[in-house]
Amino acid sequence: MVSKTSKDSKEKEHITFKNIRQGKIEDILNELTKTDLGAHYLVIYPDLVTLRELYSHYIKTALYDKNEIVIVLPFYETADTVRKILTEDGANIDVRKYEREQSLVIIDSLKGYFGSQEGLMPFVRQSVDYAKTAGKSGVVVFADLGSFFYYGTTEGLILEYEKSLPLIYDGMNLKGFCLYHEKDFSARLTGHQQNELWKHHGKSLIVIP
Amino acid sequence: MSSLGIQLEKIPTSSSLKSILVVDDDHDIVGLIRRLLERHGYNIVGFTDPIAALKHFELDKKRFGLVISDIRMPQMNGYELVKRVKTLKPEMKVILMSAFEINREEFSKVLPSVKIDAFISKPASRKQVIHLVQTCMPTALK
Repeated sequence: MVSKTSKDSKEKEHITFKNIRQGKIEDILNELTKTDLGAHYLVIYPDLVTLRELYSHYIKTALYDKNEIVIVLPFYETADTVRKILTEDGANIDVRKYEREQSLVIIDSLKGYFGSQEGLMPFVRQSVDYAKTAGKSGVVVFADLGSFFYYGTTEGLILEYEKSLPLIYDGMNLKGFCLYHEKDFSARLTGHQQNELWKHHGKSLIVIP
Repeated sequence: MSSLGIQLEKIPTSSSLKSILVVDDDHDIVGLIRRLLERHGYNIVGFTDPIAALKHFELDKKRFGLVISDIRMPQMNGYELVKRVKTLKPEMKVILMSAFEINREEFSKVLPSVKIDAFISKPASRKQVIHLVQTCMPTALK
């Protein structure tokens, strides 16, 4: 991870790294699948190919084995591309079926976060309530936060948003994975901002290519 | 006129050819556009990294007659890139492309004073891409 200044680098050294884990896709996938409800994690991915591999494996496990509702918010690819990836590339998920029964929801991140004044949280809460009535174990949100950089230099906005979320979704049948493209994370955020983000997540996982 | 008094046709040299800067984080898209436009006589300089593309443009901006850029890219999006390009060369022609719905109203809010010559919705037909590029750069040899 590249910090913008040497001051930033020094500041970074003071962070405890026990909650930051770096690993190959298999290790990170293993970590994600072990995650309990309530988790709020930061995941840094190096490129779209790696991200696709990660989410297609994870979503399959979430839908088939964990009986969870999955909300996916892509940013650097369209919702239709995500549908295609989940249908074809190794995952072989019956996307139509899961979308019909509202176990799988795919929304463009820009629309999800900025499409309404209320943002995403009311929909997530509604989905958590629906999970209870539908006999699902909970909800997992797989969200690319790249949309927060879309309108230009609004890095403060992303910190404000992340700080509004708890470290752990205590008492909620919810898991949140905040996805950052490595280039956005390292080039758009200062070391201080990166530190703030590390601190506001229960765990941070960096996928190395 | 030559020293012999004959009117000579000016032969374009490589330096007199205007190039097109193509920027998309998807390597395949850059390759596709490069192949398509090169077949029509255009010189293409392609980048998957918008920061590197901007640096290159900064060093050699006279060379370019058109910039074609994707909108959603990590590190620097198409809006940011175009803004910087127009600051360096205000008369630069620009085509933005995206696989997402392009909301012109939203665009005019993000870049209120920047003129975009055309938008391409991906996937676009070859004919459409060629037509838009030819509209912006009527001849490959300028």
